[in-house]
Amino acid sequence: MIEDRAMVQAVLAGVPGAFEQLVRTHQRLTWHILARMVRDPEDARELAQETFLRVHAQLHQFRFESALKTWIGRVAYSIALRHLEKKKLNLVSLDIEPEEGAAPAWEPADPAADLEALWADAQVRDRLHSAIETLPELPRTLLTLHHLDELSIAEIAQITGLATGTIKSHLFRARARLREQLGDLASPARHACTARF
Amino acid sequence: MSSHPDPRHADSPEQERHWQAQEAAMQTAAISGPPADAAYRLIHRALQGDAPGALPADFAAQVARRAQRSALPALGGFERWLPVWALVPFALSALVLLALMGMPPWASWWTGADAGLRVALGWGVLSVLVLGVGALPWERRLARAV
Repeated sequence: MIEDRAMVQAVLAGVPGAFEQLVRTHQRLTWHILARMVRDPEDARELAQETFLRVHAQLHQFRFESALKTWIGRVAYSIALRHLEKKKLNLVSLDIEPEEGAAPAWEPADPAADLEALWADAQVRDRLHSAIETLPELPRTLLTLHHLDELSIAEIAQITGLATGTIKSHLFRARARLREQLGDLASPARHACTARF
Repeated sequence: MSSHPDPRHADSPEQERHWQAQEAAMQTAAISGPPADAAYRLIHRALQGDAPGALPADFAAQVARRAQRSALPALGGFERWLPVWALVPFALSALVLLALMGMPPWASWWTGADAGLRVALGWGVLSVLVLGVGALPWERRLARAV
């Protein structure tokens, strides 16, 4: 928070290079949010510029009530949402649809499977990454923020405005779906892991 | 906050166990331990390495240049109002000239007008001036010109 304060004050005072430093510090998180929410990389790049221009214009309104990264993340998230709304994409439809009446049935994928060997297999890694890509935008974004940017659920709630229970539900179901697909990878001949939700 | 409901992520002890396993998988990068956790660790590893695309290397410099171009110089209160205050002596001079030299011939309609109309017009002109001064784009253009 002290670093945030120094950085914000430097930008507002017009210190040369201060805003560039701010962008460099927070561009990774911003990119992850936008690239995950907006599938087109060109659109995501334009929205990243728009995000930081808005941050620059509104930085004097930042009250240090949250970390600067979550404030910037929230700007990026709201810009991505507006972009999706313009494209008539309803975020609710971007969720994983639960299967009606499917009782959760948890079984380990294959206790005998050598997962380290699986990870070493490029084909398996590619298929796992493809499975991540096929997830709907919202859970995919939440997974990236939680696993790649290592944000806590409370921080993700500040960025997205979603309730923590909603975020947990998205994470849980998305990871369960990936695990289900991993079960197919570990044992293609049969659906060993039948995690349904 | 969102209007979404706040669903439970785990409705049974078994699901809760899996939730704990999912979260615990983030604590260690190594793919080891009980098989049930290993799958989630593999997923965690995939998600950690799954950075989609990238921004240009000079993105920060590009954005900083654009922000600098689009931003007006930060003016203090005194500087911001300086162009407006500069108009005051001109207005006073005009009033003094009118008082000393009288109305010009082309303004004879004014002296012939009804007193009530003159008062109303005076207030109307003053209101337009105040609104014009208060309008931000007008003020910005003036500030940029100074």
